[in-house]
Amino acid sequence: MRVLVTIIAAAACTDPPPAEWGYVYATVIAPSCTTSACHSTLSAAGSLDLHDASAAYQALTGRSCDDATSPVAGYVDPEEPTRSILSTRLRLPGPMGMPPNGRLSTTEIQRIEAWMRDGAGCD
Amino acid sequence: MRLTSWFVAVIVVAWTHGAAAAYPEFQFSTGTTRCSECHFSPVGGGLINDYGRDEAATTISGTGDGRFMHGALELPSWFALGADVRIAGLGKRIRDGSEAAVFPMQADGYARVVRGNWSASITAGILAAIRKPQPFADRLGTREHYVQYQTTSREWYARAGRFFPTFGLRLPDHTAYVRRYTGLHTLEESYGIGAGVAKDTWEAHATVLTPLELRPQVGRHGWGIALQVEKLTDEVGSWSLQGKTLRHDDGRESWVGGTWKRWVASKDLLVAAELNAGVSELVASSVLVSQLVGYAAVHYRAGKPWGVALATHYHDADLRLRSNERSALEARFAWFPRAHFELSALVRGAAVAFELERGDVLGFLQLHYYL
Repeated sequence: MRVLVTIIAAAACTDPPPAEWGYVYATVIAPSCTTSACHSTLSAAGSLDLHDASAAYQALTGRSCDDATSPVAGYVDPEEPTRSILSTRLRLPGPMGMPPNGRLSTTEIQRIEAWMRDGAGCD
Repeated sequence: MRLTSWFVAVIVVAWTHGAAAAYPEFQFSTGTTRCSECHFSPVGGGLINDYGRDEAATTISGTGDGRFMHGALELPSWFALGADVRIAGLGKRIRDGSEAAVFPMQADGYARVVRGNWSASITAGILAAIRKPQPFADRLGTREHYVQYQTTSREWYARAGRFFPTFGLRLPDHTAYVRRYTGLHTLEESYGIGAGVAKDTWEAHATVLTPLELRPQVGRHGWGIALQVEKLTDEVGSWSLQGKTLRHDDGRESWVGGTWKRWVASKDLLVAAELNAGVSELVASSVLVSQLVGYAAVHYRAGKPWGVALATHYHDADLRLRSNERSALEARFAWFPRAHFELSALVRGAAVAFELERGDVLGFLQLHYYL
């Protein structure tokens, strides 16, 4: 019952979703990127293991969730999110774009870019 | 060339690890009402029993010898073996590009040993991770293994080990959205304890999920519970209610939903549908995320060794986000020319936010042999 009430409330909600890592990971990265043949621990395609939120954060930003002082790097660029490696791969048309099956919607990519623009924190 | 090879590897592994599973379209349409009539497992899937092997040869294919090794070797009654091998070809059209590949999809062996009311079952094979160079031995693994107690009447069972929780239609296609987005994608089995009961007109199954990991596992694991109650209606259909909740490192995820199946004998059609609503509570965020995932299909089976189906998939990963939905429409054809053999084809068009521009069209051909 609680689940149904929450869903009805959420469907009626018009607030923009948060640009937080926890949200981005749970709603976009985990369901779209971590299946067995892709960026799971088993396959780690491209040497990228995204199997949980903290591991994925470190793999994509080059710093751990406990480290708020080191600069963000790697696949993420807070200065120019749309030119980051992550965003470029997600927006790339054709078979080389990511994910290869089940592409992300524009709103999902914009949510990832908004997270980068907000500093790419591990919150 | 390098990029092309890489992409071929991507689509290959994206469709590998196919697990043997039940074919829900055979329920009701072949006269059977329960998965466990043809499978050793009380919830279907995996190794088929003597009745299932006989049905495969007579009711489904109409020819061949469905017994283990085509009847060449008779095993003692306390011991059962089997194997599944699948070879697949895949072609895909995505915006500004297309690719094709042929690849081994599954190579699994099954063993089941029985002593009295107790049994032990294992499914072991190649868990290919072909994008990650590994010694062959590291590619071997077991997706499912459990010890089970079942009453002599087969009404009650309890099992412990690694297996999927009983939830939903239990489709064989692990890319079906109702599997992929509810934590039931391939190799996402959990260690747990399950129990269930099957009465004349209903059955119920419960699974307690645990965070136990003996090797790095795929998917999210933690403490949780899954429940499903299915009611049979006049032996030509069923409906079920189901729920699942899982607490993992990143938060808690809960699903509620149901399934519905109906065999329309006058039209030779089996209609099946599943709908689940989910809520995720995130440790790192104050936000509750609500999801919706659904599936509907119409299967045509006219007592021939072939069948066709039309199916649709739907998933919304966050109901608060607009233009976020994933949907797909697919046509399937399956031909069982003789016992042990299956040739199937699938064409699926997928869209994002109901726009084909960010979607893709997939063609898939599969040759399946079981021992």
